[in-house]
Amino acid sequence: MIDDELLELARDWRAEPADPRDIARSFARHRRWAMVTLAVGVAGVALVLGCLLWLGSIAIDRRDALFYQAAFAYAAGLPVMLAGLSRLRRQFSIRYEATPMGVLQQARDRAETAKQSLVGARWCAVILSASALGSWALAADGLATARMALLLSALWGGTALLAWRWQMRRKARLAEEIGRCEVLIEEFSAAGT
Amino acid sequence: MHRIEAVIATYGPGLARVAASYEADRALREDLLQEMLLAIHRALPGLREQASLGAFVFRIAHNRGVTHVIRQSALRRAHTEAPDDVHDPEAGLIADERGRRLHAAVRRLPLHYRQVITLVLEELSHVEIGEALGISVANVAVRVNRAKARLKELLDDR
Repeated sequence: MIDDELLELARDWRAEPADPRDIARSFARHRRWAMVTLAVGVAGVALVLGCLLWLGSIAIDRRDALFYQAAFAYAAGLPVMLAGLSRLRRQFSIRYEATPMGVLQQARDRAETAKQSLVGARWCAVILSASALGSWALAADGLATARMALLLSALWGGTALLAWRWQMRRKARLAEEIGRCEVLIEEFSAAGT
Repeated sequence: MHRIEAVIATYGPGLARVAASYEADRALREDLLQEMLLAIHRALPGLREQASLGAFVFRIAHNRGVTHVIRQSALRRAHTEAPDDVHDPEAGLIADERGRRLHAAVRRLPLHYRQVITLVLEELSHVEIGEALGISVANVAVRVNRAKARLKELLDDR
């Protein structure tokens, strides 16, 4: 099955084998780290959800517009955190039955969906910007102090800017990923099955 | 059921070489290898008893490799190859010059050729390669021949 030429290449290919014990050790570290990262992501989402519920309940109790607005801002930020968590979670899932072609098609579809869902991040940035402006409107009406309005508008405005920048960069990267997938799908199709 | 420790003991070095066929940068290659192992670890309970472990392991490794190529290409603005580890004085994985040249040449092969040639070099049978890549044995033979010819050209060019 394997000719002399390939046998020689195989020898060069295996010129210096990696030590399986080193691989096992670094894998054990990596596995622990992956679990910690996922746990931190889950804790982060739980924290945001907790803050959202807490601020929401205070807003309902006190009928306070500022707390309503704060709860609203957390509600807007939650989908972004959930998206991050789902990307982390995806690392832990594997479709082992997929072929390379299937992986490419899946990656292209996933990138398309992710690109379309960026509209959520754009809305998030718009809502946060509106909330930042809204805090000044509340301060002008005497429903919030100027210091509080400054703090909240800086926080929400800054987050809105970051969210907008992030979605622009992500959109460009996803477009490149889709393009790359299409080129590879074409190559694999041409190579036959 | 197979344990990940046994998989690493048997296929660890081979998986490290497959990771090297997708990534020249040492740190990224190590990350890719860990991603491959994590994916294999997660998928192991789904392995059917009669299926070939080698084909199963390398299929997952190559699938991770494909994902890596898509993501890294986007990051590196497509088609700009990472520097080969020829200039990396600490590169411990491939000390031998011929081995280094071969790994660099394999990385320059189109993906569908790169996959078959790495599996041939890992001494999988054509049936196992077909199983790993989801293609027919006849297509494996065709790809191997073409990959070998392209590889020879690349090695002669350098």
